[in-house]
Amino acid sequence: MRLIRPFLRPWLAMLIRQRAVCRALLLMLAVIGAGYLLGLPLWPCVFADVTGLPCPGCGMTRAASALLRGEWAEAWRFHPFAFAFAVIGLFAAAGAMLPRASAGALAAKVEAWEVKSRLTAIFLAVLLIFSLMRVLGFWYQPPLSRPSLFFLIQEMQGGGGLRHQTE
Amino acid sequence: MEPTSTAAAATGVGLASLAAFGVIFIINLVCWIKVLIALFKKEGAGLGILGILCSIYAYIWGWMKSTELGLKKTMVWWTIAILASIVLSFVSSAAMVGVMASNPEFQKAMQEAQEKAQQLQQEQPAPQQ
Repeated sequence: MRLIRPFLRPWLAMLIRQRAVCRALLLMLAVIGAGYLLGLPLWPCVFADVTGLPCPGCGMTRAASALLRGEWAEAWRFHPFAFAFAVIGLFAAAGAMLPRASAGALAAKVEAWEVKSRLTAIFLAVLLIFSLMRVLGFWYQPPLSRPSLFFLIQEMQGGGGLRHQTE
Repeated sequence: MEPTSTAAAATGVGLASLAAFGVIFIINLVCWIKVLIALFKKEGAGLGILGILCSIYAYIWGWMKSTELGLKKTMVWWTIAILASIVLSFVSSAAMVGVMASNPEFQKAMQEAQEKAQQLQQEQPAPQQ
């Protein structure tokens, strides 16, 4: 129980209380989103670039883009947690934009709900399990924007890395 | 430029970017882990995990707390690594186009994929009004 306790600590309420972080996060996500629409990778995923495997957040930008277009099935395929992250994003936006008193009241309500339901802790645990399952190939892996370092090395050694990458 | 020399040049750029990617990856990873340790200690496991899932959050949090927690140097290095990886991603993408264009195996795979996509498009029923 002592090991599990830190994971049960409310985190969404803490995020709402970090108003400056929420503001910067929204701004940065907007810039990265605009870059994505223009075809500019402004936050390259180093993990995917090197290993060729999806990191826990890989596919989220494409899923968010699909969500904005109203393509629910496509969003689910790219990242099933995009819906939940959209809700978290709304809470972060509330933390960033609401007046200090209102944001504090919202954070207090969310904290009480988190302590009571433990849902946010369960959410993180399920998300981590999902990420592991996706790495192991039990879920659709979003395609990489370019061959990874690992496949590039294979290709240079004549191991047919590119053939594997395109299959 | 001859196709073979194009391929050789692209392979050269690819090799150089490969080495640079390795260095940037290590800097990125070390800075990220350092911030994550501070994040776990200061904010607990929930926001720590959020920092793993969304490295942008860890990055912003790191900058916000850089003075308080003495993370300024780490954050400057992390920023340099991110900017370098953005620049490198453009360079290596250009190099990859060259490598792929000169690889007959890849061209064949691309052709097969295009044919398959066309076939799938033809098989799809027309959208109903």
